[in-house]
Amino acid sequence: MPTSDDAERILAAARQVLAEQRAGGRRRAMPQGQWRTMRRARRQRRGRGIASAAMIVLVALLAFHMVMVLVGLVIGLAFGLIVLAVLAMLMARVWRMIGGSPRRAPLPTVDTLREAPLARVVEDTQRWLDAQRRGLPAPAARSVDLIGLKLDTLSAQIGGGADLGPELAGDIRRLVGEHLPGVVSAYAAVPAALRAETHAGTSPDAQLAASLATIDGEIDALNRQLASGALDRLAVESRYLDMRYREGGSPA
Amino acid sequence: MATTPEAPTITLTPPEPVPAVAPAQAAGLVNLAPETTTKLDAKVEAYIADLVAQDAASPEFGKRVDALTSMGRKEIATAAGMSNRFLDRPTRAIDKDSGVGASLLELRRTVESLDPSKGLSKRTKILGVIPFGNRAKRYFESYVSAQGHIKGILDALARGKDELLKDNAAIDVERQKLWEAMGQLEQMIHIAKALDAGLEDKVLDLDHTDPAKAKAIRESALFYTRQRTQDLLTQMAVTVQGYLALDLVRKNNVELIKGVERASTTTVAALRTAVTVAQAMTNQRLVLQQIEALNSTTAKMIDSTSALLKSQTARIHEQAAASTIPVETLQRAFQNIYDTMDTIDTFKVKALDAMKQTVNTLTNEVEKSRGYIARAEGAGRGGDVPALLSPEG
Repeated sequence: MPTSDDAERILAAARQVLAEQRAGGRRRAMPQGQWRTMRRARRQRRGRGIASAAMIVLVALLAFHMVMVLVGLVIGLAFGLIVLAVLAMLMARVWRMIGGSPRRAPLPTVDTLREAPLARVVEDTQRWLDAQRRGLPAPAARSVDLIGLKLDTLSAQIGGGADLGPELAGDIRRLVGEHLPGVVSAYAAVPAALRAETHAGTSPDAQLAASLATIDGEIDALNRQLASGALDRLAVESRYLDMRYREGGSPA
Repeated sequence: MATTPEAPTITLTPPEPVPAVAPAQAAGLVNLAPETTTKLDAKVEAYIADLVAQDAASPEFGKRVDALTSMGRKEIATAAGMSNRFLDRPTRAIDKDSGVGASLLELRRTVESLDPSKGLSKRTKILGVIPFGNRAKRYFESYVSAQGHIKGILDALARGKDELLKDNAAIDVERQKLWEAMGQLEQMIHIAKALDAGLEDKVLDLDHTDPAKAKAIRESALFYTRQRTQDLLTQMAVTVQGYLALDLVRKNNVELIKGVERASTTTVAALRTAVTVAQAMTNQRLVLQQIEALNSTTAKMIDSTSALLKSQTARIHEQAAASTIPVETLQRAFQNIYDTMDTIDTFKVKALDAMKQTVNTLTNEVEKSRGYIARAEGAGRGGDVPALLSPEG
């Protein structure tokens, strides 16, 4: 337990500290020169820190650079490989296009078209027509282009599993595989000089144009007939929804 | 005595069978717009002028006459192609006693097993609850076990109703297409008749000036025109008949849908009555959860039902609670189901009869028309029809 002497001593010490602090404390006690030395030493320490930091950054940069060079090498190699592969593919395609591949299917003829299965006949006729197109007069070539568009639709419908009865299948085969090549090849057999001349009341050019128009119309009709199932189904569904939900679902 | 709940009587009218349509009657059923007929008449005039201008011995004359033989070939072929299908539909309607028929039969069987006149004896009814309380309890418990089954049947009926609706949607679409085909045929018939009249006039004129040409036209052009007119009229008659037959199937379906709705309504009403009556007779709380769940779905499915059910339920509650003889209320509810089913059965018998007659007549006419169509096909293959002799739009 502190005695009154202790208290006296503590109070005295406190008073002294107070007096000292009022007079400027420790700062006043240190002389100017000592202050300067301290600041210099601090500056020197700071300078050494900056140098070592620069060193570290340099080393890191070097390391980073080396890593990047390595990565770049790998990426470059990969990219080069990809470019090479694309080039190879392009070359292969060009090679195939100029007829280099021995696996290319031979161009169909009028006879092979007649024998072709339904699944192939439309496509084969299109290829055959493309080949004949150059020998046709301009209006006929345009008609052939239009027929080509309709054949695309037909081919898509057959491929899409449209409802084909045996009768319809026969109609398609006859029209696309026989009649169309038949009329075009018959025209091609007429010497070019005689194509515009009148023969049997009309000219071969006019006959070809009329025949192509007929075939165009028939292919269109076939397309419509093939699509009729899907069209009907949609119409029925839509009518049903109408009856079921709009008209209340009960008979009036 | 309280009046028993009674649904307004339902009448299902079987449509009349479709009679044979004579070719002479067939024309004129589809009205052509005046502007269309004007255009067609102009075509015919142009054709006649063109024909008369040709030398009767020239191939050009022959070509124009050939066009007559294939006149309307496409229109006839289109309509004939549909006739196969429209014959198919009524036949199918007869053959398959669709899901609805089977469901109704099952419903009748189930309802009969729950019939209060069998389940509750007369004495129970007169003496009330006490002596045969257990028996009544047992009877009402049978509802609980039957409810799942009844719900299944009612669901099947709702599905059957949807199928009938879908059938009618298909018929609507088919009839729309037939209507268009009939419009085309009508135009061709107009052309043929106008040709007939125009050629006849021309021939009378030519008799004085150019008898040779008059003879040629009379023997070829006029002859073929009349033949084609007959073909076109025959096809038109068959098509009209098919059109009417489809309407018959459609009307049948509509009536059947009404019957199905009513059968569902009366059944649900009877079950609700049973719940109330059980409460009154045996102080037994009959919980028919599945049927309660069905109430809301049925009401949603069948609009007309919900209104009827609502008004009935209130009355049932009132009467069953007040009635000294609640079983009678229940019996009345069951009678409603029986009445509905009997109405449906009578309807079906009559409708089947009408349908069979229609199919027979139609089959005959289609057969007859096939001969004409074959001729049209045979004659038509060669010539190609000039735009002159084709319908508008």
